[in-house]
Amino acid sequence: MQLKRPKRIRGALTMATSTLLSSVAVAQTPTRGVEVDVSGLRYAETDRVTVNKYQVQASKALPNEDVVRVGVVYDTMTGASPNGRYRLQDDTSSSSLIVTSASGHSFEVANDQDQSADLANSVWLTRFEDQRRAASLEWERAWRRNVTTIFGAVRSTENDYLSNGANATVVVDLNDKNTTVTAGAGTSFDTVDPEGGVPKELGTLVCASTQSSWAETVPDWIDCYPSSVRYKAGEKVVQNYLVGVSQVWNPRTVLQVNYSRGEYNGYLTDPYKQISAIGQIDVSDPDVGEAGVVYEKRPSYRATNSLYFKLVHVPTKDAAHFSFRYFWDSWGIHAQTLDARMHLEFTPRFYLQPHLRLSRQSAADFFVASFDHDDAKPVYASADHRLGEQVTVTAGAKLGMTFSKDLRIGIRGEYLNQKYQGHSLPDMKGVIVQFLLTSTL
Amino acid sequence: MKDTLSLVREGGLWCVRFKAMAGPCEVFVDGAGQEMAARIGQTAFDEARRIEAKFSRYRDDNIVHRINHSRGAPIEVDEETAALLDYAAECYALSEGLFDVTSGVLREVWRFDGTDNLPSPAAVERVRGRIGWDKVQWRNPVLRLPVGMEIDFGGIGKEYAVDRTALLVRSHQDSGVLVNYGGDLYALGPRCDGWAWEVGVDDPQKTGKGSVGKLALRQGAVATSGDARRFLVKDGVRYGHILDPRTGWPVKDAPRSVTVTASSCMEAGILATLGMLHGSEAEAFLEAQEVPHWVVRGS
Repeated sequence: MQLKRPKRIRGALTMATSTLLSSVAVAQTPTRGVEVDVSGLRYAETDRVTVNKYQVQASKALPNEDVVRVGVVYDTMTGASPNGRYRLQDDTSSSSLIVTSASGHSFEVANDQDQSADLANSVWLTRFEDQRRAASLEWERAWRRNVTTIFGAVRSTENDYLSNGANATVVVDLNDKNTTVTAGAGTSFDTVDPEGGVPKELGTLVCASTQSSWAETVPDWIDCYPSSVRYKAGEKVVQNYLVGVSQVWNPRTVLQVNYSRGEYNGYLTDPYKQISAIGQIDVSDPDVGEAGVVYEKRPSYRATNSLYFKLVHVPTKDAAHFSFRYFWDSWGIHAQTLDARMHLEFTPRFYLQPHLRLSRQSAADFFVASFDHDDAKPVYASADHRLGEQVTVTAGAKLGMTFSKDLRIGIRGEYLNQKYQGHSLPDMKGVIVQFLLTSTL
Repeated sequence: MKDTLSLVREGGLWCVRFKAMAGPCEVFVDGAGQEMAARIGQTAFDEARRIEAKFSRYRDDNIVHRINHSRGAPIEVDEETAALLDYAAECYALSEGLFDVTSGVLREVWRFDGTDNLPSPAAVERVRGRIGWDKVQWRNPVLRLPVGMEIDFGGIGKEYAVDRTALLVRSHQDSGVLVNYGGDLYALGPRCDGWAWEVGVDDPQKTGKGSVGKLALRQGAVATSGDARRFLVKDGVRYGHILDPRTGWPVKDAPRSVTVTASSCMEAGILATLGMLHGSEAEAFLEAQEVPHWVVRGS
């Protein structure tokens, strides 16, 4: 029985209550159903490759609050892609240039802008038709309050390519979730097995026949009686690592820095890429011709590094994303990419995201456009334009619509233009159109 | 429990009703269309059910079950549970032991069924050994509960659900909503026309049929602690169901009910419970807190 005057505890109680109610972040009601994301994408390069990609991903929160995600991707790629060889406009000796490339058919496509016998005008394109199917599984768990682990596995198959991989990531939140540290590692085992196996690297595909006057222009090191030694399949092991930090700078700005490293070991050559040996019969004769064709050869090791910076600024309901990536690898390639995206909310139901991306890449050390008669045998060589010097500009926008909390739709369109330097490949222009749908079932 | 929400239009308001936390729950929405009222109702339903699933001691798949079956081993709890335990610790200290989340085990000896089955003093003493927040080792985020002890959030669960629901509903609409979970209420702003919500304070003598007062609620919470339906009577003495954790026995001369208004439902609920626990001193205690209150005493 209290005889003394009761203490006034109300002030302290009010404070304790507001601490409780403000400290617990607005909890995410666990998805009662399955969240499904569906996407259809069409990528078309003018006169080149067309890709149709369909993707479905489903994620579900389990009763213990783990999240499981299952994804399936189906791609079809058709069209023609430069295979590294040159085709000369006036070349009539096509009989000595029979081509059966490792993957199927070859045919020539001339750039119809310029009809002169300039090397710059034509490239050999390899036509292909490929389908890729991939399935992925991911399991995410929050262990303690601020540590989350994600384990994933991916399997991907194409007509001649198989990849199996697994990865693990740890995400730690510090400083009241103002700082997030991420570390991850992954590994994959890939096999490429074209019809008949992968060709002998720097082995000869074809040579000017000894009857032809071009025969003298073949570089000495090219073996004109190609041995059809083929290996079974090309295998490689890939390991990648990622370390990153994301920091809330102020209530409207987040910064992020990531470093990732890749280590590739094994067969890294592209079995479908070739290099032309160009000959000139007479120095005074401007005509040049293809004297021989060899398969490319890349090193059996590659280390890639990427440093990535990102800034997200949300002044109002709109947001601006800026990122810069610096890439360098053991093949001598350096690349820089600048990306800017704005998220503009017109109404709570509609948003528009204009996007601009600029990218520049330098060539790999062993990149060559073609060989001359005087060239010595290289250790490594590739004429694959993807390893060459290039500048790419991409511009586009995405429009998003929210129909209800259970249904969101997006449409994206992008235009890209890729120019090659130190290489006679004409500019590549492409268009991407993508349709996205997110729904909770 | 029925897993459905009902949404009806009554008296110029949208009224959402569902069952949660062993009782009727209502959310009144003024000045909104049907779609918005349904969204608000769904938010309330999801949150009430979530809290019930997470903190109910009747389930075997939640943190409370894990804690109460930890057999003395340390348990690391999530952020929300940790915040509630911090709050429980603070209230234990502020109330000098009157508010104690470990006192739930008293239900093993006390059954308030209107009969005269009082437990023996020996039985109560045995259970008392298993009560006392001071025996608990709590250091955020690790909890160590001695064997035989239990944590029961029943005394604050409903009020917490009301406050959490109000917090989530606020992002849809910040005025014209009244959340009522079995008599624990929160008003997010007055009704559309500026009028306050009219809340009747139940007369425990005539539950559901009469009120001892009306209060006009524009913003804030109302909570009631009472023994209207649960009591024991022996030798003409009425034993209310509010037990003093320090003695293990019902509080002497407890009021029939105490109603308090405050800026949050949890605060109102704790003050109402503490009011009851002060027995004959209920009015003095509540006046010292300088908070609007109604104390109803029976004969």
